[in-house]
Parts: sequence; C-alpha cells; structure tokens
Amino acid sequence: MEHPDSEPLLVGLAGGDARAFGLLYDRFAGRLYQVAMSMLSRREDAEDAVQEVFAALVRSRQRLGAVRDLQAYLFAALRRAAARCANRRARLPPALETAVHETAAPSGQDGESSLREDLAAALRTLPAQQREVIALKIDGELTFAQIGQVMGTSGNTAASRYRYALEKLRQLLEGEWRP
Amino acid sequence: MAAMTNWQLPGDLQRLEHRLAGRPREEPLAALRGRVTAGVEAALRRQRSGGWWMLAAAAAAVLIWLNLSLSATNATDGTLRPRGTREPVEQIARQIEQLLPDLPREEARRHAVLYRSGSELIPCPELGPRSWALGLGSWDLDAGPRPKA
Repeated sequence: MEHPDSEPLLVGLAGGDARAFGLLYDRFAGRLYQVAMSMLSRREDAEDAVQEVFAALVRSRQRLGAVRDLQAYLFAALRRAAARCANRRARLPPALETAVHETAAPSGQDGESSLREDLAAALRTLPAQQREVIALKIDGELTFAQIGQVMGTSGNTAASRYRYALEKLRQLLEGEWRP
Repeated sequence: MAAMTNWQLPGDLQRLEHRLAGRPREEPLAALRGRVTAGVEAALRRQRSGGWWMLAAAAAAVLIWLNLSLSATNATDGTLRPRGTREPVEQIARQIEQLLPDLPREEARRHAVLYRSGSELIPCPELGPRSWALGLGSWDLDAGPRPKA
C-alpha cells in the first residue's frame, strides 16, 4: 500500500533535498535490503544494490514528479540494480568468487533453527523469478499490483507466480518440514 | 483486479506464507546509511556544481566564437571587390600606353606593376608617421621618387 506521506517525500526528492533522501532511506532501506538479499544472497551485493537505487534516484530526481507509486518505483529500481550486481558478479573470475552464501543460517542445535535452515535452503533452490516474487511479496511487503509493476506483468500474473512459487517451495520442503 | 482481491491461498500455503514472513531476516548494517547518504549528498553537490560548469562552458564557447569571428573579419577584404587581373604586367602596360600615349614607357610599366600587385593585396590602413620610416615617404605619387637632398 502506498504510504500517505509519499507525495511530499517525492517533492523533496525531486527538489534535491538531502533530508528527503534520508527519510526515504529510513522508511524503505530495510525492505529494499532484504529483497536484495533474497535476490543476490550476499551482504555486499545487497548493500551495493541499495546504494545504486539511491544513486539512480538522485540522477533521475527531476522525473520523480511523475511517479505515481513510489514503492513500486523503488523496487523496480532495485530489481535493475540487482540485475547489474548479478552481472558484475557473473563476470568475476572463479578464483575471486566466494562460494559462501551469507544467507545460510548457522547450524542449528534445536528443531526450530533446523526448520529455518531448511526453509532458507529451499528458498535458495527456487528459480530466480519465483524467489523474486516471494521476496517482493514477503520481504518487500508489496501488493500484487505493485509486484506486477515491478516485474512488468499484470497483478494477476504476479499473484499466479507467487502461488506457484509457494507450491514449489512446499514441494521442496516436503519430507523435511510440514506446515 | 477483482480476481486478486478474492484471491485466497489454500490453508497449507497460507501457513507456509506465515512461516516465511516470520523467519528471521537480516537488517542492513548501520554503516550502510552513512554510505548511502554520503553518496547522495556528493551526487547532489555534483549536480548543483554541474549547472555552473555548464554556464562556464557556454561562456567560454561564446568567447571563442567571438574571437574567431573577429579574426575572420580582420582577415577579410571588407570591400568584397572582385579579384583583379592576372594578366601579365607587359600586357597591362601596353593597355595603359594605348590609353595614355603621352605617358613614358617606364611610368606605364610602373603603373602596370602597381595595378597587378594591388589586385593581389588586401587593403590595409594608412601607415601614418611610421610609413616614412619604411621609406614610402620618399615617393611622390604624382612625380615618382623624390630626389634625395
């Protein structure tokens, strides 16, 4: 749901008010970062993607007056930034590529942490598009209409993808975790 | 959109959804805020100074254009007269002799040389007192070289 204070915030951003950018960070950075982590699986890449979103906002700030849905706009910018980060990572030579996924939780001693590990592992094995739709819905807290805008599809298609993603996740977890 | 409003997940998927929403998630490091806001402020500063840079570049371009156009104006024959003759000097001298039969041959030739060279030269301002230093003052344009005292 669009925040009611988005319009004055957009005016501040378009006018180049640094405080408006700070306010925007405080309001959205957590969700942007979590979605970026779901997409990229690395802290440094997720941080770079969030930083790129803000850099892109400064560059295109004069066009922000025409933005109708700030959240959808931000997450669409994050999606492009994440794609660029992923491309940069893919071009790195294998020797520089660290194989550690930072989202992997530490080995759990109890059943609850074991379930969390299973869930995180199952999420990582989902196809990128399904992982993305889950991240935008759960971590980004976007509506299906907003997810549709971010992914360039209709809201109904976004909802269907989300449902398929959840079913796939459930299948992956079957035998290890049953809701 | 109505289909989406009424869209309901089956119970097991709803529970999975709640499980996903409740899983522990990582927060961004506190240092990221400083990095992002510093980057934003630097980019905004660059954008603002970029306006002045554009003005300075435009002013420099105008000055260069002015300089070049003045140079071109100074190097152009303002009268825009047609190019003079390229006929040989002897031929011009003969034509002068035909027009002024009383003119001595040497004088006709001198006028022919002046006519021929003048057609190739760009007019320049009168030299003033310095022209005497160049020896031009020793010429009487009506009577030829002034006899030395």
